Amino acid sequence: MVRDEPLDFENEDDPLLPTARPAKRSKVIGLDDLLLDYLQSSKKDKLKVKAAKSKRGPKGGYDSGEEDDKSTQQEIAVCKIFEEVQQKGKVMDARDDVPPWGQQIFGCQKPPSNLSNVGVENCQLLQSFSAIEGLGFDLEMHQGEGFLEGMLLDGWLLNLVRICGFVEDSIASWTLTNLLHSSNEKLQVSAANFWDGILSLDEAGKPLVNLGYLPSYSVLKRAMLSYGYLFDTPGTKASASGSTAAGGSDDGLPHNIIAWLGVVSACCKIRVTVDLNCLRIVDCITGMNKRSKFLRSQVALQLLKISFGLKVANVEKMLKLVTSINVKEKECDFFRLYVYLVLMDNLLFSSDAFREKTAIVDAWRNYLRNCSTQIGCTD
Amino acid sequence: MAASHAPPASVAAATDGGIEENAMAILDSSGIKDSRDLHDDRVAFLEAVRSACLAADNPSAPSWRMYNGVFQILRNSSSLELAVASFHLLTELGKQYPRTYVTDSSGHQSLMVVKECWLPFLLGNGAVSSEIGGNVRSSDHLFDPSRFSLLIEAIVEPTNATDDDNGIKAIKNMMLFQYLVNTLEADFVPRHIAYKESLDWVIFRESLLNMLLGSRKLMFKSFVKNCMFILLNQYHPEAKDEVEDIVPSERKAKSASDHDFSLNYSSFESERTLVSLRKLFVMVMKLDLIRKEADTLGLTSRADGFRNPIMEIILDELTYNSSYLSPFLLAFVEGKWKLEIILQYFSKYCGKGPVRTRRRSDNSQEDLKLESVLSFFLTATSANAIVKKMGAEIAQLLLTHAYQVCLSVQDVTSNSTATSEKIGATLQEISSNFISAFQNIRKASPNIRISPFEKEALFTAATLIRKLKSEER
Repeated sequence: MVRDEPLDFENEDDPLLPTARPAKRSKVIGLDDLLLDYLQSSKKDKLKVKAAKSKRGPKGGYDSGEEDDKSTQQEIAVCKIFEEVQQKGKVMDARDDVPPWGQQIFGCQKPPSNLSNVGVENCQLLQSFSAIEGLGFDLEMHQGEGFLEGMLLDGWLLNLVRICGFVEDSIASWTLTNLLHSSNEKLQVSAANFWDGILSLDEAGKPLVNLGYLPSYSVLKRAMLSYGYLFDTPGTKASASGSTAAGGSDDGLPHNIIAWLGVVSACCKIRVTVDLNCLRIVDCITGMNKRSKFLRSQVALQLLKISFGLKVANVEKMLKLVTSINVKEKECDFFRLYVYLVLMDNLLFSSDAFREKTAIVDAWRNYLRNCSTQIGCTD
Repeated sequence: MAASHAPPASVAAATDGGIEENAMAILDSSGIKDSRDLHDDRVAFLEAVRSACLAADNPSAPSWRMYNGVFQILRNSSSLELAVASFHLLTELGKQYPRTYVTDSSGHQSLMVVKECWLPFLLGNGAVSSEIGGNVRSSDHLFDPSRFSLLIEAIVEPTNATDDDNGIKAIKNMMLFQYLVNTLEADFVPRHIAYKESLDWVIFRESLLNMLLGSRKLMFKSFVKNCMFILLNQYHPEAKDEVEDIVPSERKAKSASDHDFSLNYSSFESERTLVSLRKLFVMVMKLDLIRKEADTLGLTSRADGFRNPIMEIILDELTYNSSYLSPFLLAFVEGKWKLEIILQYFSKYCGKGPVRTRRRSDNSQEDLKLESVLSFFLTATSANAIVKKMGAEIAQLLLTHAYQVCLSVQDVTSNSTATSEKIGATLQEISSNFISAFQNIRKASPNIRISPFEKEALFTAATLIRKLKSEER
């Protein structure tokens, strides 16, 4: 990062901020998404875990407020970091809209600790082998992981899991570890395919596979740390820049980052319940600069897409769907409508992207006007 | 994909205004000697076409000359930047202004073809009619059938990648091929939709793919062999190692030279070329099926000519070079067609009657299902008979790949019904027959080696049987 750029006044103006800023890079959208995905998935994990723990308890729904508070704390913390970064970014944005290129996002990469001891050899799948007869070959226990790797590489594992509709926790976590940390590219790609497969939905929008294990916030974060991601908080900045200046040979883009992004975004495609969480996610993004506004608009768009089942291709069609909700009908779900309204509002007015598309904005205004006249005060 | 489109704006639109003149003037190279200037001019030309035809408020379709100019840049330029830019521009133009599309009027789908639209192919009588505005010279770089097969040959030939120019040339060839296959597909898909409704062979007789491959200028058999060779090379150990060596060093971005980049990019393009190749294979297989249908209905005439079905050529190749089998089945991931290939391979050895008639109308060949193939292996004697004919290891390999297709079509996808007909039994039956087939093969040749791939398959089958049985209870 130590670059001789005597003519770069941007940096001279603010000598305290010379280092990489995650939110500012040529691939900024990707990184913003990344952070956001982070939030979403961690939230969902928590929700899922909770739902699983309280088995058939009242699930999710609109009364999840209290529960959410806990689960969103972590998220809010990240959001704050994010905001700070955004604020700092804004200072620079005011003077210069051109994002600096070549900023370093990832510093020193270190191999994550205690990976080897996952104990996948003891999974039920492999244990069941001894009960099977007549296959014509034997499997030693110590070959278990290698055999499982083969099954993963050749696609058998995914087929098996998909047909059974169930995946053991130990296998799920083992494949995730491979996805996040394996340096074997083929294994990593296969693991990514596996996760992509088990996280996908069938035509009715139900998950194909019953998952007890989902990538948790801590696992994802540990991976990020081992990739050397420079969490750009005020406290760590000095040390981060110090370590990168002395950066070892491990600098550069971490190999597994694409898979990381893949699994996180796949996590986010699992149907989000339409509830206050959606609004919270959007609200979390508070920055006022162009980029965070755009991010907010895009997040709202994605959430709307998910709640309409991913079949709606563009904003026009989505608008049509939302505006086709007849508020006079008895079964009209006002809560849902409210969520849609807020998301739509964020989508359309957070960024400048729709400023010129007057047709869309007009249609939206009309609908709002109708809503305000047609909905009785009692509702 | 381009299933149903609004009719594109008048094709002549861009010709009317001065847009075409202005854009073409940018390309005018008279008086320019510096190659850097030429490069900049071409970039400017691509920009001009993009802004006039795609980005403008009221975009108009590109004229024949403009289209042609863009394609010429893709074909002739020696810069990667221009090649990529022109490739994307052509792709987007093709999407925006489809030449072939389906209109849906009151539930009836009819095919529309904008005949005067520019094409990268030179088919039929070989001359571009004069009203299009191109003279013969301006079309001499388009792809006629022989040039298309030459392109494949150029991709097959191992290029000396250390030479930078050669590297770019190889990438350019791959991009050209991808673009041409995409063009064939954009013509094929709407025709397929329209054909399903009308069953009119003429729709496919006039398809680009049929005209291209039916031409005598293209040696279809060697063309298919070359294509297969590219597919097989994917698993060529040396090539793979080379790529893997490069990837980590490329990722240390700062030290990566342009040379590394172009090699790395080349591996990216070769992956996409393989996708295009498989796409082409599947299209030809579909075309062959439709042709066969038309033949049996008596809709074809002598004018349609005769071309060997691609399946026959593939099967011949795989039969004579059994070492191709495993890499080909790994590379060719389209399950439905993979199963078809496997079944037809078996049908050579598992035929019930000793005499197979040359005529296909008896349909006996198509009726071979995986279930019936497996049934040949249900007793040690019959398994022994087949294994003697085709080889035990080949039988194991084919069965394993077929079983994998069975598993992958087990979810509710749209085209799985046709495939499950080819399977012909429940998953549980197939799984247990699969295991006993292996047992009987082993009785026939006791010292046979079971590959890891096959072991994994057996284990999967055994696990599934347990699982399905426990569900029954």
